[in-house]
Amino acid sequence: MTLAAPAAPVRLTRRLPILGVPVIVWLSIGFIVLTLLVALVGEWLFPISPVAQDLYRISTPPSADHWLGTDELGRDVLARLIAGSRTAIIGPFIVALIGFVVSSLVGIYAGYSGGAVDNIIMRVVDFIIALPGLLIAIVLVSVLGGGYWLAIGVLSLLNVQGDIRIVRGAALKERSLTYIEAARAVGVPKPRIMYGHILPNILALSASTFAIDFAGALVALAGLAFLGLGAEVGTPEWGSMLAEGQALLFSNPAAALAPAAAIILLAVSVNLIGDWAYDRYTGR
Amino acid sequence: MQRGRLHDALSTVRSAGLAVAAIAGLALSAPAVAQDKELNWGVRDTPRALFAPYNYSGDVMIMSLIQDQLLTFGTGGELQPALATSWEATDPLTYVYTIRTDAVFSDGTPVTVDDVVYSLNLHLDPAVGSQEASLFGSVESVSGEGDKVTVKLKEPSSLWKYIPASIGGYIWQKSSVEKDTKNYGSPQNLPVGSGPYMVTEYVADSHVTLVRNPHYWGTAPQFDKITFTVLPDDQTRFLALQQGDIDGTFNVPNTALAQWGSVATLTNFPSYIWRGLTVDMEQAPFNDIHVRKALNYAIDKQALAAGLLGGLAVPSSTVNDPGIFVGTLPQAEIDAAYGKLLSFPYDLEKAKEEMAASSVPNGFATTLNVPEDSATISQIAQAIKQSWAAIGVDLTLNMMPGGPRFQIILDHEPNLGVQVIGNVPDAPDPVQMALQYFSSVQAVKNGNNSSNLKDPKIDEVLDNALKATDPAEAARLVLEAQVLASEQVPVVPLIWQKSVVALKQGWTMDDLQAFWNMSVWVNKLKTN
Amino acid sequence: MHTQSIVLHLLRRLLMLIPLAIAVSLVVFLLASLIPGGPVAALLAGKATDTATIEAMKARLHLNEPLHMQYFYWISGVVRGDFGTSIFTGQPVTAAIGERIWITLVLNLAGVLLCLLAGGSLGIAAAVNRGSLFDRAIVAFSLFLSSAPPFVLAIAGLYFLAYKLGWFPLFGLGRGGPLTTAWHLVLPAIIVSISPLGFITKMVRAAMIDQLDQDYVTFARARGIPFRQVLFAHAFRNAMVPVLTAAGLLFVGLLTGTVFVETVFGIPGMGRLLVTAVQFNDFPVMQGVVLFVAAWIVLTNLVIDLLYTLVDPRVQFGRASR
Repeated sequence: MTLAAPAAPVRLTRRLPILGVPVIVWLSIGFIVLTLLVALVGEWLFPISPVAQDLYRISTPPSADHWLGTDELGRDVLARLIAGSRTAIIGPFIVALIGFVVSSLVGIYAGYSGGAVDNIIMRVVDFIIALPGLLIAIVLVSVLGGGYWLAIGVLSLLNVQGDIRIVRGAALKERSLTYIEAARAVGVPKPRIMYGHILPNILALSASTFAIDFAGALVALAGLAFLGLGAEVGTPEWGSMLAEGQALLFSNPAAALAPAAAIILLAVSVNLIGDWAYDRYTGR
Repeated sequence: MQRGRLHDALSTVRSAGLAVAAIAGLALSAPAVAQDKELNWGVRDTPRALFAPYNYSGDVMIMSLIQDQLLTFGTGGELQPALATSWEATDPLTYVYTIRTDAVFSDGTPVTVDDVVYSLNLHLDPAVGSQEASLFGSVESVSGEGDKVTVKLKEPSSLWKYIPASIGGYIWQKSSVEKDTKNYGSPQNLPVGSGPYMVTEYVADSHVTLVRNPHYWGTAPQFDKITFTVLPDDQTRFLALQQGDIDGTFNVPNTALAQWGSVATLTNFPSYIWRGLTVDMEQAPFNDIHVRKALNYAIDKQALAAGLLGGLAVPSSTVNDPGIFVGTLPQAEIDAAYGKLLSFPYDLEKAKEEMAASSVPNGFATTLNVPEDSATISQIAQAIKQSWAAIGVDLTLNMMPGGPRFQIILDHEPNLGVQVIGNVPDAPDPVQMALQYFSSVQAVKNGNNSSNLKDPKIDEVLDNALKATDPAEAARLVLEAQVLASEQVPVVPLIWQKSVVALKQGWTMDDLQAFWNMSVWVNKLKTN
Repeated sequence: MHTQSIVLHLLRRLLMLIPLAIAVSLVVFLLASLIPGGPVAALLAGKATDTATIEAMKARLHLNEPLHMQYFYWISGVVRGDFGTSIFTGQPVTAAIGERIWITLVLNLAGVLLCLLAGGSLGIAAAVNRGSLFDRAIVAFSLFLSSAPPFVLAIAGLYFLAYKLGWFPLFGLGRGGPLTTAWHLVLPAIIVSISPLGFITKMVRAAMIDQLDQDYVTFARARGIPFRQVLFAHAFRNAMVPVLTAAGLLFVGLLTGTVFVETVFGIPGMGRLLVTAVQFNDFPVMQGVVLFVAAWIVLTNLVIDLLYTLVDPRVQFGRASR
């Protein structure tokens, strides 16, 4: 670990930036655009059906007919990867977005208000943490039936508590800083302090957690799908493909590794873009 | 100091004594000290309570090594003596078992008739809430005198004679069970048995360790110590087998047979598992026989058996695997009866014809509840969905946790639709499964006849089979019932599945049959 | 803050455990009772049975009684120290939890501490070299590891480090004393530490950057104080609050969050206990685990909040701000 003094003016742009944007961010943007494109037209363009089964050729490794091999029902992995790109973006995005919005509203309020308000809100959050998510999922499946949007809802609920804690912690710290005291002294109304002053200063945090929530949601959706809370079993979906590909790991590694790679790349891309956008926005 | 000297003296004497004993021991024992022969076995699911009344599951494979049963099954499915040296049906309602006198529990206490009576009565006592109570449904009372145990039935039952060799026939130690019934079989209250092994350690989600029962009355089994290691993840189990950390396992995922076969010896053997769909004959459009036939024709059962299950199954034409009749009837008769069954080899054209002739020529939509705890059923369900889509039947798959899914079947409300079933008989008795799926007695709440097949003729035949005293006659009647039932197409039989065992290279396990887990199966292992 | 008010505050917070515990156990109980079939259907799943058997099983488990009576039985047991018996294994719930709690705690604590150590170091290194390729590489690398689905990490670790290289045991806890057990937990702990790594690295990096930008750092360096001293004695401490929050999050999720590692490595932990309990509707175990988790949450929150005050005296509690 080098402890050399940091470079004086903090600049992001290094290593052959193009139009002022680092290469790696271009790659990330490129990957996301690619995923969106594939989500829109991929299934239409790719000749192999993502649901066509071939029971005599299950778990086969990559070959000329099936570039990424077949899964446990003989379906083409690449076709499913392409078809799964649709759900890969929307669902997790919504989960992360809900996490961001709710945690910003509630977390800042709790952290800034302190005292009883903080206490009550955090106890409610603790309450949610203490509930076993698996139980909630199973009960919801039994009582309401399954479904993709229900899964998104459950995941959002389970996800939000972590974000609230983070934002609340940050708000707690901000509250004691001079500039907030000054604002209070001057008579700035509370909502304005919370959302006009504190919020912008903790945006970095929220951007970070947004991207991480995204990746987590992508994988968590698979776990819920196993319980019936998700798209119908057999629907191409990266998380489910990963979960079902577990059993084939040494028969056709691509069945699990391809969706894993896709998930990782998408999550990392979202993260990198978020970071860069934040750095750019705050002029750091 | 005096005490010190005394202490020293005692120590010296002790050491001298030990030395003498050691030399004597050496002189008396075998020239070479044999290494403990150990078996490491991998299991996927953590065992539940090792007490059958609280555990109606595959854990019998462990319990059978610890507890004796009254009787046991031979390789052909025939009943053989175990704790009972002989048995006799003095009349259709009375069975008398002579209990051996040399059986001893692992704690040294002898097995008495009291223990036997107590063990069987456990399943009759509502306070115990035994999960196998239904197997004792026809039992009136159990009593003991001298060295004999008498079981009185309420009505004749051809099923009863097998129960003492099934999960219901384990013999427990009355004193230890009574001391703490609530926690019996748990890691804190290990079961006591008179079988070849005893439990020394049970850590839930980790392992169960068995060592020899020094007081076992039978032939000593080959292993001194057996460790069941719980490995829920397929890949970890695979690597453990490859590395030699476990010697074998019965849990091999059907989707990775080639991979497992490359590092281990895979042997498959019959298990009489039946997988199929029940179709509610009282609900439209399933009440139309054309629809039921179409649903049958549209599924490629051969592909399921040879492809998806990798040869671990064969297409099925009714509930009972023909192998279950082999000990009782000649093969020719079995083949003839099975040849008479209405069968539906894969034929998409015929399926479409049947649909066209039915009340719903344009197809229809329905749902199937899929239990989330079985990957195999989930795969089969997806295959069926594809098959039926080709004839215009839009099947929506509903993944559900195992309990709630089964509760829907138990509730037996109207409109049961299609239900996917996987079941296996508890004994080599064909009456059991036939009753469960074809008899109107079971077409009620908490029954298994989710097809609602209610045919008086079939009921009569099955009732006679149940009351028949001669196993061959009972078998013939069941064959007849099966043929009659198949004419009405109450179910969509899919496959008869075999079991598979994976063993480290060099080991073999021959002669495994259905109900292997009700015997001292470790004796069938041949290590190199 | 006066010691007395801190102690009072602590007591108040600990008392909050009671309503939390009751609320959570009540909700879990109600939720579990909503599952059709309950433990009976889950235990029998698929086996042929009859009404008499089912009714007898329900009676033994007191499932026929009204809900509030069932809950009352359980609560009155709890206050006497009897947490009930597992429906699945028949063992007392206290034994079931007791068997696993140490393993889970050791595994998770080791994992979290490893993560904090690694993430902290990486984060500081990245912050100090902000903007450079090194910084980007660190962030991208830790992001990459964190975005990997936990299952993939576990299997990859198992395959490469345990199987191929043979550096670690493949599964289980080994047969030996505490040392053997500890050794068996090393690889699982490493795997546990990887998933939150990206998050911690980014948090630490962001917090440190925040501090390094502050005027006091410039002034201190201008006065000739060595950078290293500024970094560790001042900047790091000030950056601690958000880091503590992050660490707190990890600790709170500790008890049951490592199911995937327990599954892959065959370790008997609280995660698997809870999953099995939920699958089989094992009420007593679910309730017991949930109570434990509630207590753990209250405790961790307390410790973290205390650490907040220690690290940053400006942060106050128990007093509403205007």
